Amino acid sequence: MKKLNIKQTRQNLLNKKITCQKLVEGYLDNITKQDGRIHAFLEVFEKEALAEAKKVDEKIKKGESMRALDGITMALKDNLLYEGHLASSGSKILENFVSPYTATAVKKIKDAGAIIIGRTNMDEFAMGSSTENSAYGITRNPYDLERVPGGSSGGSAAAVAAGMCAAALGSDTAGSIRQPAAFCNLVGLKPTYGAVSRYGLMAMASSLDQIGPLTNNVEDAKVLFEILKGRDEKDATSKNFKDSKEKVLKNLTIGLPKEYFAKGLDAKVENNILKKVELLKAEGAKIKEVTLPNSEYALASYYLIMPAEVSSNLARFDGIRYGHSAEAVKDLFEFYARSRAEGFGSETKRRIIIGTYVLSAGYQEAYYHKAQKVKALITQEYQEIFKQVDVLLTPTTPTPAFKIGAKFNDPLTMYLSDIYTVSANIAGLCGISLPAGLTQEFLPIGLQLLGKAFDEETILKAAYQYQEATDWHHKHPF
Amino acid sequence: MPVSKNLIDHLADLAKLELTAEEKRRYFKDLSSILGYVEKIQALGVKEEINLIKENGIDVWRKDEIKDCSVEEKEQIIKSFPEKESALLKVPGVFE
Repeated sequence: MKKLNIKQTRQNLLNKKITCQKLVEGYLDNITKQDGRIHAFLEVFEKEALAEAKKVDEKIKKGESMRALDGITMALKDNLLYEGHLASSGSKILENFVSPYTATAVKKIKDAGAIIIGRTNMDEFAMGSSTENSAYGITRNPYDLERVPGGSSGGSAAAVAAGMCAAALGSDTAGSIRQPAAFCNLVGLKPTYGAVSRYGLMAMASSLDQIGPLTNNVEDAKVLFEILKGRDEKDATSKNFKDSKEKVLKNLTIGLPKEYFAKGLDAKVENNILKKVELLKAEGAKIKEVTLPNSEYALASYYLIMPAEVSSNLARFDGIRYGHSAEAVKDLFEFYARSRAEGFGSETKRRIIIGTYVLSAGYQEAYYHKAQKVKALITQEYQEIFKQVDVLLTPTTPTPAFKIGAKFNDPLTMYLSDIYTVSANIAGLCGISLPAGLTQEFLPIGLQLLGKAFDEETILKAAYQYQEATDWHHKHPF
Repeated sequence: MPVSKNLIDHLADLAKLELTAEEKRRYFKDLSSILGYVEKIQALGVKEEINLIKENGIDVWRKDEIKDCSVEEKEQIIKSFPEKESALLKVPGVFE
């Protein structure tokens, strides 16, 4: 069965082929049937979703005008604030935290009519590539329950892949939207830093975080991006930007960076992606091999910048104003130290320690400042390459989804999962992961397109034309 | 850069984070291996004059003024206080 996109679903609602209530009940049914074993959701807003659906059906009955997302059911990653609802960021320290206000991105999709069906599991404070770092248990990959869905937006990816909602929001600091999208056969868009407001997104690494959609297809990614993008006075780094003149595939030059097709890349993934390059060539795109020698430093600079910002951002969790508070302590220091010890999980503590080191006296220049300079250098290198090519094409991940537990005790190996996605965050680019087919073991493979800053239009257009020539995005996990 | 076990104690103090002996042992090992990996950036020569503020392209100003929030927002924030007396946040004593 082919999956419907947002536009087609809206059309079906308007033509009264299905009621919104039936649609939402269908998702809730899937949650009941599937989520016991997948565990994509931390909480399902069943009553609210059904009440919203009823309103949509009334509107249609009365023939009122419909907004872009009226009747479209979406899930939120647990690090997005939604007034009056719990938001824990997958952490025990925020177990009972209720959002006092709504994130701009959430407000925008709500204002466009989206029905929020629940909040999804994630690695604690978005730190991880497997959704194994949640205080509330792991999420399983719908394509293989023994494997991870990717992370940190693993719950959002699993929820969309398993048909438990039409689309979801995630956040991406080094690949946390694109990598789970690749592992779960979805489209995952990481907008350019500054394209989408981060107001109300719990900060992990503020200079790299971006909110974006996880969807079944490119059309939906575009619809949601159009709604999400733009300047928000509550996020000083957000901006308005003009759409570039998009090019059709046959006028497009696609760059293949040789550093992304090197040691460490699984042969199955490599063969698959190279076949897609042939496909795009047949569609008329020009292919050009390029080299980005500094890109190999992207992950290393990330693992200095990110923990530094994590240790600063997470300093706000002191047990005093909100969140978990330690009891029976002897002084203020012990109160802070124990509240944080009891509330944070192991990966979070690890990154706080690394970040504290990186920012501590004597090391700040050698590590944090140096990493920022490397970041600037990498950014320049990508800017130069985008004078020669319109988009870059790479695998999204070096391997398909790995087994649960396989990398859990080896942080460095886990960190290498982000090797192909992290550059987009470091260099301030936009990127999209697209379904590229399944391995013999029925594991999805993701293809990544990278575009220059604020040129989402071009990668979305190229992605759409790629999708038109393929049908992997219609594959179901069950 | 050598990582000593005492360093982990010092970092835990700076980060206001209580760590168990087992955690200290583990993070000591992890910090050494992660720093071993990130050290590679030292090999890359960068020009000292890179202006980080300019590179990040951020130069946004706004008036420094108080903006009120909604009653619901206030109520929810107060509700989240771990300890309170009426609408006031109760904090542990700073001095003996």
